[in-house]
Amino acid sequence: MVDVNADTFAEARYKAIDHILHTSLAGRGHHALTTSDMLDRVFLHKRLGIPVFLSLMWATFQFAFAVSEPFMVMLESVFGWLGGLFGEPLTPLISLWADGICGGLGFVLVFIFPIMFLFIALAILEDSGYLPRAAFVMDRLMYRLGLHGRSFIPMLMGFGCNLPAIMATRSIDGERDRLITILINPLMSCGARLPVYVLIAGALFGAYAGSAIFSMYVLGIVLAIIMALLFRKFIPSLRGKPAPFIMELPPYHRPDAKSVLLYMWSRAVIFLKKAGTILLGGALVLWFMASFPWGRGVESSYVGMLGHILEPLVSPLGFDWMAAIALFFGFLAKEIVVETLGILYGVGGSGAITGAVATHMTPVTGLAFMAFTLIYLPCLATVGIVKAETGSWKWTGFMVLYQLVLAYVVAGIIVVVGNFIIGVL
Amino acid sequence: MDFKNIGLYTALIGAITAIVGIFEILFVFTGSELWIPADLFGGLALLVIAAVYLSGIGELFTKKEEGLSFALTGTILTMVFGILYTLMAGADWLMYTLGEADEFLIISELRPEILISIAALPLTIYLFKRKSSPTE
Repeated sequence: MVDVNADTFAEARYKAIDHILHTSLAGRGHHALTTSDMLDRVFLHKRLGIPVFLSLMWATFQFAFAVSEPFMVMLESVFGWLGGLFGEPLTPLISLWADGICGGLGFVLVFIFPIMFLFIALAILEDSGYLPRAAFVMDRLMYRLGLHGRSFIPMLMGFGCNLPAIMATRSIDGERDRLITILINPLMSCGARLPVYVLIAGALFGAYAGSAIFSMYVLGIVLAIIMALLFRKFIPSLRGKPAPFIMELPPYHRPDAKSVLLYMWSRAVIFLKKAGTILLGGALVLWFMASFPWGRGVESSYVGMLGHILEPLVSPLGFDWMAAIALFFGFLAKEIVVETLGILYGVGGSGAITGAVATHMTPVTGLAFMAFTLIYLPCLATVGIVKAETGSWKWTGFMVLYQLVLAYVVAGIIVVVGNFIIGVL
Repeated sequence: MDFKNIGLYTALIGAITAIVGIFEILFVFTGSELWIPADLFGGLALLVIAAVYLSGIGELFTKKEEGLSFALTGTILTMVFGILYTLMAGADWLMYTLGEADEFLIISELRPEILISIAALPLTIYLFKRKSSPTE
């Protein structure tokens, strides 16, 4: 009853505002359509709104992947040249430079371009006023499914980084709604996962790489909605009807080049700072673990030993020990998944990393690996912020556990269904 | 241009977009390609754009201003995809000059989406220049 009253009250208020505006403004007595009205008729359309949103998101990921590819190749060539400056990596010091710094950290750095291009596209969508409409359209769907409408804004923010997205859940009034939004937010694919998708999809899906990347983002949204529904239905403390949500939509305007570039640059700086700290540290540790005991080969190195211990856990999904190690260290930061593969393939003697990925994975296991990376665990910093925001180790532990199980189930389904389809074809 | 002419233009662009979209999806399964590429998601995106165009033609033929909403948004989406594929063609050319691609053929880079965006350009320019007029 309260919900109906709130909705009715808001609707009546906006009708009154509309009436006053159109009768008091000169030349607007006939209720002429503004450009914003016209665009909203389609972008907020009950049937076209979501397909249009998905089409634009697909275009965004095509842009981020395909257009950035030559720039990645150029930077990769620079690091390849730098890595070969001192000749073959026959001594630990040269190996540290060639395989650890250039092969590991350098290999991650090339992914700055898809990140920059992705955020250019997202900034254009946000600056034009479209992204709040996307949130509104998804909110309508989510509310119908019994979820809180305001959840989708932190979810959209999760495309950038889960940390501020989880902090943004403070704007949600109801404690239950807020907790559900926090628990599902790590399923939204953050920018740190993008390098993993770009590497695997680029190596295994050719012309469909952009679509494969897009499918991961859609998978994240779909899983988030399903999990939120399950939590609300089966966890007694999270049961209840979501609170109503009224949203003020900003007017459309032409995106400003300066603000778009500033937004993109701010994301690039975050990535570079991460590269200079945690990714550099990770590269050094991983190189050491992959190179020592010196001269025994990567299979018999410390990381090889650890990888073979972890391998049985992921081998049913078709992942080898290198993938297991990459996922293991990826808990620190998702970019380390790519860095680890770069170092392991580099120390193992593979020249071209993408070629090495294609020999270690099939398209089916590659897709499963991408899905597993998306779901299995948020990064360490996100786990910390979930603990801080929920104030509960119980909910933090629950989130980690359900994500691990879900990752295994989804990756397993992809492997079984994918292999079945390939078998039939 | 009156509403009826805009309606005809919109219907034509919408129909072409729908046909190309259907072929892009069909070719994924049949494997036979003309100059239209096999592209599942690209084809689906074209069908969405076609649906946007075609949703407004009824209102345009009955001279309702509301129908312009669909024509306007359809042209914006067409331009977005036209620009996207033009940028992708530029990236492919760069890959070719870097020696990362074996060939660069204009005919395969000139995707139907680019041609549709060129065909929709007059409508786009007209709709953007047009000021809302209750008398039209």
